[in-house]
Amino acid sequence: MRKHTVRQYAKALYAMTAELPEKLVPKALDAFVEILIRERMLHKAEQMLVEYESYAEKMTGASAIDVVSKYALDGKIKKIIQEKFGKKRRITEAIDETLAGGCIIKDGDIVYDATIDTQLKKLAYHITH
Amino acid sequence: MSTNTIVEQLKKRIASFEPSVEIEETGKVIEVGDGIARMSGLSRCQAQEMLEFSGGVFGVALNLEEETVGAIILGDYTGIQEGAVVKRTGRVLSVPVGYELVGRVVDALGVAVDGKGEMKTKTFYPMEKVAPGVMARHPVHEPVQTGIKAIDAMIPIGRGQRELIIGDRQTGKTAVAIDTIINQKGQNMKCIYVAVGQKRSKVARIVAKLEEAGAMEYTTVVVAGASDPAAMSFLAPYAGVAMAEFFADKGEDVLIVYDDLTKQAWAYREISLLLRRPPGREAYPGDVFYLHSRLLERACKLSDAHGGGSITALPIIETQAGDVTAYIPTNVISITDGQIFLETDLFYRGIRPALNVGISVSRVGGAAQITPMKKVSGKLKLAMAQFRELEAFAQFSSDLDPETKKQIDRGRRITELLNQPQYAPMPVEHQVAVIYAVNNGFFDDVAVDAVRGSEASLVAFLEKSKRPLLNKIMAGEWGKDVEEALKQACGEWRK
Repeated sequence: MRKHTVRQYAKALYAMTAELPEKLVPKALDAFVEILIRERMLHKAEQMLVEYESYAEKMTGASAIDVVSKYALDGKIKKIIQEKFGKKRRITEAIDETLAGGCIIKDGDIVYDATIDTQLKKLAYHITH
Repeated sequence: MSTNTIVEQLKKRIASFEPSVEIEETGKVIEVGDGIARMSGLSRCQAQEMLEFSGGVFGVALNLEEETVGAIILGDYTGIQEGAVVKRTGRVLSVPVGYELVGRVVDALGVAVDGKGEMKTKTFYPMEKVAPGVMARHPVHEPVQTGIKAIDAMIPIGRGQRELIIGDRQTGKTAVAIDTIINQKGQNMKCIYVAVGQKRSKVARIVAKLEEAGAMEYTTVVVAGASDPAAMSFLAPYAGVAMAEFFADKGEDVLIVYDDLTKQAWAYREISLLLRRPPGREAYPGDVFYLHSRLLERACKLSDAHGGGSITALPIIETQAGDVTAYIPTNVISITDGQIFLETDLFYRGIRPALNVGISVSRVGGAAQITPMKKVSGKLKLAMAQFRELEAFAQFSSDLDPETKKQIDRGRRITELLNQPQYAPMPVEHQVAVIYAVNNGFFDDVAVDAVRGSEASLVAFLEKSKRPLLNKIMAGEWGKDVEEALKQACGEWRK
């Protein structure tokens, strides 16, 4: 039988506990650990927790957005980003001084490239073609 | 043009530019090696979509799993590391097509490998495409003259047909295909030779031969060599047929040779096993039939409403120890419109091309022959079958009646006549003349080992003094007058 991945266990854990009353959570976790022992996946529990956190954040709309820019973001820009992507979202910032300007926003797998460097390349292509 | 005008034009172009945010979907490589990669993310990736790895290397997504995407890498995978970013391109795999490819040697991605410089192609065709529907097709009715007497007379191929060439190693499969390509000179046909898993030295020899014969003026060679990744061998036939479709869409006729599909199946098996697809019979993946059927279905004769073009496919399959009941051979036999069997026994007995006419078949048949050839070769296959039976019978019998002896002698001469050297395809009008001559007894008093010399002599005589008659035959004319004229010409030659 095909083995389940760490991510699938994490998703299953989330599905199991998401709407469970708090007093039933310990019992549910005990059952989950028993399954991990039976399937010999207990050694991957730490990875599962990381995946669980990431999945839970995504499902509740609280996952992080990575922003790379030339300069530090001011409050106004952060507010605009949160308005576009969700107020619960955490913004993690990184500075890349090689950029001419603008920023790159990474939301999960999707990358929004709003850098001036890319716009200049597109402008060059537009002029020459 | 004045400076002001240039400045104005530049300003206009800049003003017309609309900046927009570039949106890309990315993933991360979690496993890479042996020409395949497994990635996380890319949740919206489509099947057969092109992916861009770091360093400008491209890949094709083949496996769309719940949490990962498996892809084959089209290039050097040694520079790709775990954790590298992969981007979707949003495009399916496509290959450059156009007249610029004629006379060139390219790889499975359409990149020139013949050292003659880059090709500036403007058009791209997708490698994977749904074959034309039933109503877009026309029945096959025009011949492809291979220049090989045994094939044109008894196993005729038509434009838009798929005719399999099957046999063990070193039986002359590639020779039949190359002779066919060489004979397309002046036939209004583009040719594409797809070399899959071949030694580069062999491909170089073939290209040199085609150049020598002037065939590269209308031929494109697509190479996925033995040292190339399995992904290239898997894709090369699809690249070839995409290039052929460009010409067919313009109403032209194309001949495409896949040499050979056995190696494509091996490459596909290798890729599928590395991608952990479940193995089936002989460890091939379950869709190995579909691998070949979707390729060969794209060869067809299009209706006039769709341009009237055609793609004729000559797939080659290599058997082991003559076993045509193996998995891949039976698959491809069931797809194609006929097969040409080449046998090792016949080859070493001196019958070259080593065709087993008894079990070779063309399901298009006479519809792909010009009228003169149909008339003179109509009973040839039956006569040869009867000859083979009588010859076997004669081994055990010392006294034969004159009629049987005559049939055996005639059969031996026809067999010798159907032998043909490599790289010497014969025009159809010559074929008609020599087959007519042998069928009507003009070679009966010629020794068997002198038949080929007499054939050459007859052809030379007709070329020198009966060219108008040959032109009529070439144009497809046949009637009592043409037959009588040919009979008289043969009689004159005998004197």
